[in-house]
Amino acid sequence: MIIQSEYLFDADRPTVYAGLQNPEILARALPGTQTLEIVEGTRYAGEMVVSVGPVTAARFEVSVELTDLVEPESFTMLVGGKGKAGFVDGRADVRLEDRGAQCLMVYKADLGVGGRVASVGQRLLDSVGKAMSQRGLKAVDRMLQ
Amino acid sequence: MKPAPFEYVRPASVEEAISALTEGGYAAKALAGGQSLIPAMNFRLAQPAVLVDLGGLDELRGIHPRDDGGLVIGAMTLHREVEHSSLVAEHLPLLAEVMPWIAHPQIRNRGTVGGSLAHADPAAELPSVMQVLDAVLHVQGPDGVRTVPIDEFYYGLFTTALEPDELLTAVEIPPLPAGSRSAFEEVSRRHGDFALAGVAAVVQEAEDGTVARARLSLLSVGDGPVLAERAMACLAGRTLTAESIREAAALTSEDLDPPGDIHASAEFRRHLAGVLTTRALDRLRA
Amino acid sequence: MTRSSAIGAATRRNEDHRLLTGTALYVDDVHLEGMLHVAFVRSDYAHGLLRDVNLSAALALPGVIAAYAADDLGDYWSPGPLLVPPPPIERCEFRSATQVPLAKDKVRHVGEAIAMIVAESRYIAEDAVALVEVDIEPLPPVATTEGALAEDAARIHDQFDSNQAAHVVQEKGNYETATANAALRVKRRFRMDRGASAPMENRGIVAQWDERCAELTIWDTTQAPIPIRNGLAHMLGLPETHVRVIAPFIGGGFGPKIMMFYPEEVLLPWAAMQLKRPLKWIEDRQESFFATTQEREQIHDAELAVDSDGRILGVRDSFLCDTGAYNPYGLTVPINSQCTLLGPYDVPNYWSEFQLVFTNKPIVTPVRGAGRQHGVFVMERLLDLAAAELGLDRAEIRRRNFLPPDAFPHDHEILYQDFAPLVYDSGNYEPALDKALEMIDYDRFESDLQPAYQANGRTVGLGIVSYVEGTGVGPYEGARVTVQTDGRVCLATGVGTQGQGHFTSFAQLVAEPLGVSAAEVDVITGDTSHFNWGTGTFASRGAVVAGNACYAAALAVRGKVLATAAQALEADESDLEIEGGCVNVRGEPDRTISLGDLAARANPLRGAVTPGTEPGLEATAYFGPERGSTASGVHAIVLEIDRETAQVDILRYVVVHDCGKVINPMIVEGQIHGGVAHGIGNAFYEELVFDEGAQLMNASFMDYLVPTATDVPHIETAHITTPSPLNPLGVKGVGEAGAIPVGALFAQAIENALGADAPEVLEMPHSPNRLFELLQGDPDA
Repeated sequence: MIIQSEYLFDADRPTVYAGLQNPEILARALPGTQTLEIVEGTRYAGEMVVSVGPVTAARFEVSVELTDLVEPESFTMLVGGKGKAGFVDGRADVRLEDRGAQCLMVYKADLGVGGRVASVGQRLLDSVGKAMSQRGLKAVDRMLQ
Repeated sequence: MKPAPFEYVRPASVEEAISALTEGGYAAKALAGGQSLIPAMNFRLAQPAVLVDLGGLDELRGIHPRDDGGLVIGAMTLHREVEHSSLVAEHLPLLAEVMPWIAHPQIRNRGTVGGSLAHADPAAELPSVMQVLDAVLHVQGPDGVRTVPIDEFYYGLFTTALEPDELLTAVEIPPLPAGSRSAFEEVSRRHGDFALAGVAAVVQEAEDGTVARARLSLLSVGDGPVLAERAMACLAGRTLTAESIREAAALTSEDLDPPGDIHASAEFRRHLAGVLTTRALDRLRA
Repeated sequence: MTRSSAIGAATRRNEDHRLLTGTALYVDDVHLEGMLHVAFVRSDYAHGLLRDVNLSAALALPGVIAAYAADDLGDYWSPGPLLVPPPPIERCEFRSATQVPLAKDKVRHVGEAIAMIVAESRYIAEDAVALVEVDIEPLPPVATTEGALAEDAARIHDQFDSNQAAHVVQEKGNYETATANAALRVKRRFRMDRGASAPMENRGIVAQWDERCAELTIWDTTQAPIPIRNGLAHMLGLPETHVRVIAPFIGGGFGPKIMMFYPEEVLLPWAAMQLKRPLKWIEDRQESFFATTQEREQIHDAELAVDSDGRILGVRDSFLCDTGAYNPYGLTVPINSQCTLLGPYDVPNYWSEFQLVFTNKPIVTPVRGAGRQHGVFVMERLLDLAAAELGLDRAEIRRRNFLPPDAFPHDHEILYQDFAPLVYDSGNYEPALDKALEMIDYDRFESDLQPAYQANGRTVGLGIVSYVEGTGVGPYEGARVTVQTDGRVCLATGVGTQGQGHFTSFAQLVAEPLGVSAAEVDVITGDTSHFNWGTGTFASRGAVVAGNACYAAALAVRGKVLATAAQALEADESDLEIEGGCVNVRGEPDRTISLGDLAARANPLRGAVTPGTEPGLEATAYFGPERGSTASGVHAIVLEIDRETAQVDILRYVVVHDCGKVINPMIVEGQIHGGVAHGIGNAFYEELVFDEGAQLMNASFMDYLVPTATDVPHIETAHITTPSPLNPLGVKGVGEAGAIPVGALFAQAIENALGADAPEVLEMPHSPNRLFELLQGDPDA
């Protein structure tokens, strides 16, 4: 599944870039994240509880790693999640662009989904992926204010 | 495919149901007809700790006429009751027209109007139909009763203005203004399947034959019911002609950002939305 | 006038009362004292190293009785047998890797069983499944047929140096030299995707171990109860006589239930013996999409060479066939494709090569049609393309290439799936084509109807295709017929039955020689305690192989009846006739004796059975054909396309079918209707969609679309009867026929509807989304 979209932050590029290195703020980008702690450098691990429509309270162990960091322009985010309902595995290439006092994030995520979520949820995966990423970025944006 | 263990509550009143939901918080789920929730539970995608069965709330059942020709439909009214209601057939032909498009008879025998509206599945027919009918939703919570106009009810994917401890109790539909005509169009793989795309349309004609007001809502092409606002605006004040319809359909398609799935790509959905909008509006030409 | 239960009469079905009143026994209806329930932990990953399976939390759950991972099976853990070894084809490389009872070290497809939970209820068992901790280290999956042979593809079975499971070449004549001067060659790539068999009843097993009697009883949804019994007895170290397998009423087989020694089928009997409690496992619908075998993924690169009259000079085909994670069923599917491609045509030169490849997807074994539709799709599409190039009528190009009625037996000079040479026993193809053309109103469609539709802005097309089906393969089946003292007749045969109407058609075969009605014949199928020699129900062979055994046994009993009656009535056998349950002396209505009385006489309580004679009016007979018989047919369709929405609506559907002598035309039509419905699914609705991770995206009937009653049109049928010389009844199989040509038919009709600038339809299934892409001029989308 490919999710390609953008988000306009009400903060400048360095703020957005720096914010996303902070696990507390990064956690907001993944809606439902309960905990996210640094494992080492830019590798993080935690727990996420996802509720979307028919899916309620599905627990996932998540791992996040930020790589290919080019401050303050771009980075790659590797995400893994594993739970009883299935798993998610993927990468998102993120680019930040100056828009005056604002910052435009352009992202393209390539996500593989497995297990029950994939086998019965296909109809909604696209929408859920899009909605969750936008919801997450909105939460990050609020955090940055 | 057996559900995880859960606690089952069958309240005798709306108040009791609300307090059960309040107590259960996010771990509680209201059970209406169960046509989406029960499969999700059997797949163990939904694992509510408490299931609050609204099946005993007769006060939420029934179709009640308003003096002005509008209707109030209780949230627990079955699809089939709406489908076979002479009141609905007489006052809201659009609602009568859409009912056979909702899944299969077996599902309509159990599924409820309120369940469908509150579940907010983007492929559901009723949210779009209620949207073009300017429905108002009656909501009750621990702090009392409130009403929400349909345009403010849907927030996004499976998300509505309902709080976890609130219940949708009824949907109130005003009478269609004089000079109004309505149409519904949908394409699905097999009859009864989730729509690949669909559209509900109401057009109110002014005395001079131009469009006084148009309402177009699409389903299965977004996060929920999608109002085709630019298309609606472009029709206002014009007559329905091949030209204006083509323009409205083009705007409808253009404004969508539909999801793709294994049955229909985003591009196919966008295309279908335009085709169906054209077909619906064609039917509404005088 | 034919009697209502004579062979050839549309006798009403004996089994319907039980089926329609819900009194028939299915596996899930078996409830035993102390029975426990089983659920399986299955892999979420398509490919990975199985690092650890921790059952402790599951075992601690109240109500859980036992939990097993691969290591807990000890010596019982063993890959399943290779069910069908490759035929003795000269140019054949074959590598066998069969399914395992529980994954050990590695998982190879999503849904592969990893652990087995036994609990007081299925609910508790599934709660426990959720508590099992499985540690899998994902490996890159092989998600596509083509990807399997890529150089950098992950290896699914470490013992092999690639994912190639087989490489086979069969050749007839010399394609290259014979086609050197061909007037036309058409070459295309054809794709067929995967489908599920989607039976109404999923698989299920109940196993009961009676320790005092040392007897194991298994209720199993198998199409092959006898081989299952024999295999399980061997695996469990029990005498065959102490294992009873019952295949009761089964809600649809369609092939995957002829796959044998599924993990669950091997594990439940073993665990029932371990725990000394009866166990039940009923496959749920989601499991069925992973744990039951599937079929159909193939990619063909095929070329047809014709002369300027459209006569076939030769065909060259090279194809890939996906076998999924394991290949227990050998080469049956690709050989069926290879052989069936030749169709009803005279193909003097044929070069056909295939590679069978392992992928990280559920196992492939035959599903109704079993590879035949692929061959038909390729050949029929090539003929359509050649006809278009030559400006020939599509019916005419078929007619010109049909094997003539005097060409039989016709030897295609290659080997079929039953190891016998592909020799057609009989056939008469042109009358079937003519009949179908007449029924579908072909001439008027072209001259009047289609132009009229066009004038009204409607997009309507017609399709017409031919096919053959190799049916009724050996090795053999048997039957025992007994006349009881109440005059009723008991028939026991070893094949299982999954809705084919065996309780009626077999009864008819026995009723006629014995002068009773079909309703007076009690048929027992699929219970090894009643009949324990045979193979199973597959390859459209029930009527051909078991049917002839039933008939032979009935004839033998008829001989005994007449001999006994001759004594009783003091008449010459040649003066006797059997009718209405009695034997009469012809022309002397008073000299009569009932079959029941004769049965009593034949089994006296006093007096001796003299040497050389047997008690009772009973006989057992076996039948094994020297090779399969070739059924054939023509399907025609008229369909309408909504160009804007890419929806397709079937307006008419015609089937002209030749399955030799018909035992019961109503049942034959029912089989055709079911087959066509299945074919419509494969052509238009059904596709198992896997993503790049080899994850199945539509493992439910919400997204896997099976045609419903409203999606299957009225089907007009007609029969041509060309008896098979290979069996006494002259019958040929019909179980799979309806499903075989539908993809090719759809493709042709879609092209015909869209007219001169139509995109080529070279794949199946053909969904509206795909049609939309083609209509947008994007064939590679």
